[in-house]
Amino acid sequence: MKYIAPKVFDRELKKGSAELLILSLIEYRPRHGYEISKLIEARSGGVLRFNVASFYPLLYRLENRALIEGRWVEKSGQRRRRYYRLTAPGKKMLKEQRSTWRNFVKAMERITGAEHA
Amino acid sequence: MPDWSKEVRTLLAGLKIEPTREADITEEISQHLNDRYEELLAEGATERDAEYALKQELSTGRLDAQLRALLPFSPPPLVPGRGEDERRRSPLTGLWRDLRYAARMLRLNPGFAIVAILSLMLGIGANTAIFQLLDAIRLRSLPVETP
Repeated sequence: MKYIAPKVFDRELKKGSAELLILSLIEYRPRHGYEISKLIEARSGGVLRFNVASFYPLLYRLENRALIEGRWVEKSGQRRRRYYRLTAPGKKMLKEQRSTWRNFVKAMERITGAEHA
Repeated sequence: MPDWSKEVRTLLAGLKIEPTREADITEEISQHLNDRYEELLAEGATERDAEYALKQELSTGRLDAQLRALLPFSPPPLVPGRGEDERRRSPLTGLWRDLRYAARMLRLNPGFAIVAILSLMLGIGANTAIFQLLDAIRLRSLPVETP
C-alpha cells in the first residue's frame, strides 16, 4: 500500500473539501474573496487556511464551472470588491457535496470510533 | 506598503490572458494581499516580515501555473494590413468586405449618405447631359456625305 505522508494527506483533505467550504460560505449571501478565506480560517479555528496563490485559482475554477458568479461591487467610501454569489447549479452542487460529505464523515466515524464503542 | 499589484502583474505577465481579465485578477489578488499585509502588521509582524511572508505565499503557491491551466489565452492582437489567411482567400473577399463596410457607414450617417448620393446623381447627370450635347454638336458626323 502506498504510504501517504501526514502533510500530503492534510493537503489532499483540504483540496477535497475546499469547494464545499467556499460554496457553503456564500450560500446565503455574496462575499468577497478575502472574507471567504478569513471565514474559513476563523470557523475552522485556524486548522484550515488557504494561501492566496491556491485560493483564487479555486474561486476562478468554480466560476468557470458556473457554480459561482463574481461581480464587482462598489460601496460608498470603500474600494470596489469582487463579490461571489452562488448560482443555481452551485446550489445543486452544494446540496450534493454536503450530503456526500456527511455520509463520508459518518462512515469514517463508524469505522474509526468502533473500537471505543 | 509594498506595491502588490506590481507583484501580481509580474506573475501574470507570461500568461497572456485577456487584458481586462488580467486587470481584474490583479486588482482582486492585490487587494487580498493588502488586507493580509495590514492584518499581519496588526498582529505584530514587522513590515519586512509581513512582506516576506506574503511574497513567499505568492511564489510557492505557483499562482501563475494554476491560472495558466484555468484561463484561456488571449488571441494575438490584430495587426494592420493583410494577414496570411487573407492572402490565401479569393481577391473578391476584400472587395465584398469593403462594400459591406461602406454600406454600414452610410446607414450610420444618413445625412452624409443623402448628400453623397445627391452629389453623385447631379455630377453623373450633368456630365451625361454635357457629353450628349458635345456628342450631338461636335463628335457625331452629320448624316450627309459632304457636309
